[in-house]
Amino acid sequence: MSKCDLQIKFDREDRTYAGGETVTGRVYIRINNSMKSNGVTLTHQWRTHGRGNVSGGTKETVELEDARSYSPGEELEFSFSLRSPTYPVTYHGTMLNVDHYVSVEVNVPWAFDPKAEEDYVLVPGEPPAHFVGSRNEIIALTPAAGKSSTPPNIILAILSMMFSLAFFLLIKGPADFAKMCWLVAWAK
Amino acid sequence: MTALSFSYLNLRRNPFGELTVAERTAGAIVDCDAALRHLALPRSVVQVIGEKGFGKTTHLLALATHFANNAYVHLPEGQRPAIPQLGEPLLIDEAQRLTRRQRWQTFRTDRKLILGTHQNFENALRRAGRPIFTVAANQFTDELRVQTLLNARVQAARRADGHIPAITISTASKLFAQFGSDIRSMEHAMYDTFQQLRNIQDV
Repeated sequence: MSKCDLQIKFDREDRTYAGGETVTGRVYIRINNSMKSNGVTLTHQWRTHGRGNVSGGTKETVELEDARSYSPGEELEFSFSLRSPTYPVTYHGTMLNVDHYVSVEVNVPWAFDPKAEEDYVLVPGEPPAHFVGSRNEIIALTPAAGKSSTPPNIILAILSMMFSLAFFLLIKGPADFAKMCWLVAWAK
Repeated sequence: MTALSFSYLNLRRNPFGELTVAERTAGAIVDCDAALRHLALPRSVVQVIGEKGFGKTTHLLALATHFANNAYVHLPEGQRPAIPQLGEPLLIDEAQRLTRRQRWQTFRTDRKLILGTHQNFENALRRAGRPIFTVAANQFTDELRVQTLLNARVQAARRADGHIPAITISTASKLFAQFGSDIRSMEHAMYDTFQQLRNIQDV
């Protein structure tokens, strides 16, 4: 039997929240054995799962309780209230999934920390702060800085010359190719 | 309406997606006893040998959990990350990618080593005066173990009490016949299978 049992329940049964809304719920802890804890922490984070490496956003933590000792049979209850992010929204694809999680962990010294985690669904709500302009605005695409601005007809001319030289080398052979290069250089 | 991930299978995610280190370690089914007894010896080395996907990293991570002060490094192909100078034992994943200099230096220290490797370093380690214990990552792999490993992955992804999909011995046998000891390839195959599952059933 584990030292304690943890449960997270959201106030909304469908666990669905729009970006920017307040996510509320309760954490229930039932103590099975006498134990000391260095604190109870609630964490809020989005993470990916699926085929690729797991990645995630910044963890936001809230201390639900400070260090103390617990007796068997004790039952604790904590409410939580956190502002959901505006993005990324929940996404379930074939190779990649993005989900939002609330987890609770009891920091037990010199032992594996009991923990529980539950996911919720984040749908589009408030637009992210850096999304400026209206949704219908036409976006003018410009080349990224640092890319070549050589006109395409010059690129085509260079490619044609290189192809011709290579063709001449293959058909006529290295000796005639060298003679041709000398003639071109002399003409210049 | 967006539903909770894989809730229709009573799971939290596809059980055969990529795992975090913590998840992989928690779900490891590895017999560590003999290796741990050997690691009680001074300057001891445990090497876990196996091809790609045989479970070397899982073995290393399972052993690492027994040592609070361990140091772990994975050597990616084509790169030369620094070998941690602190921590014991030192776990080196893909140890066959050590440069000759790194190998010479590391094998001759007094730090206990746990190596995950495609190549058997027994001769080099003996010359360095190290007591060695060699484990084949796939030594216990058979159809039954494959079924146990895969069902453990499904269990780890359970969402709530109740039924969840189960891998049958027939499926495990087919996977073992197709992939041998390559657990990773089996996991990739099962990932695709679970992506297509629409209700809880034996697989």
